[in-house]
Amino acid sequence: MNGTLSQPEQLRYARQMLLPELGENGQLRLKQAHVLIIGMGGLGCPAAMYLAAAGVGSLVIVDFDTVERSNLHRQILYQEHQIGRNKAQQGAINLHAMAPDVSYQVVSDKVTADNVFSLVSNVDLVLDCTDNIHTRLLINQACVNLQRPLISGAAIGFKGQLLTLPMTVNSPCYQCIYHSTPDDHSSCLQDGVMGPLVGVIGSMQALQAIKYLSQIGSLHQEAKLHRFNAIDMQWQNLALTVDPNCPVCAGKPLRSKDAY
Amino acid sequence: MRIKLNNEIVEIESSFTLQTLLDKYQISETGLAAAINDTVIPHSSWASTTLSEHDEITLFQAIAGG
Repeated sequence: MNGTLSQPEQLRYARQMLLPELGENGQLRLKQAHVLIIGMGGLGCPAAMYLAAAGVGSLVIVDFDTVERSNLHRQILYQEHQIGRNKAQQGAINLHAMAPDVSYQVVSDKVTADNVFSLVSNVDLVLDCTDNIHTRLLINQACVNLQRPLISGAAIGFKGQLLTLPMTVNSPCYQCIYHSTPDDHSSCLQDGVMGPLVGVIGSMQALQAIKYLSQIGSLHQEAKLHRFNAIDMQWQNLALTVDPNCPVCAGKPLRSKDAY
Repeated sequence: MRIKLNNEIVEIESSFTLQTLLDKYQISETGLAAAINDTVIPHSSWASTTLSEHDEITLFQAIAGG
């Protein structure tokens, strides 16, 4: 593994480097990683905080929206007096105060078909922390075409979903699972959401990201869906398979290349 | 034969596929995913996937919020 850790970095990450699964090699892998976090709301806040705190070298954080008072019960990166500020800009400032060694790139534009490919192409891993199906489909399409691993979180009410899609050969994409997607009728705006629930799912996105980047476990080979019901505290772990007729990934290099 | 549909035991005919099950219960397919025994079955296989006794079927919706 190339690179080194400074004395303060050795100290800062000591308790996670103590884990034999991570060690100094894993920490160096985190330091060299570039991660894209799309959506700095209830999922993106904890995900970004944990990734920054863990020493991921470079975070690109994307959100066009501004902090509102009604966000604050779940978007725990922001403070009362920061209402009205852009979430990506303010998020980077708050993250920098917490973890100044990390490099932050701010994108305060809306994610569209025009910019999603350039955003995704510049990183090693993508976290989908968005709040609408339209953007989720755009991100999935870009991750399929560019073969970038995608860790997708979602939450509404008391229900959460965590999707880990390595986008390796013969691994499924988002639309292999959801062939048709709902209209954007169900949202935190209309249906409400429990704050700690998005915290759980966002934290698990960060956990999966750290494991993926430092090569702990089998995330590189296996696509997984974890469903969480916060009322009875039940998790369901589901195996995923490719849809040979998937409108997005069928016939793409994801299927035909034999090297990742 | 008996299967479990979202944790409830239901009686169906042995010839049922995933698709006939959805049709029988008039379940909307918009945003729907279906799993048998904790493996998600892609939509294009629903009509050709025959259910077996004691299968545990999970039907759930995509979630977009965050």
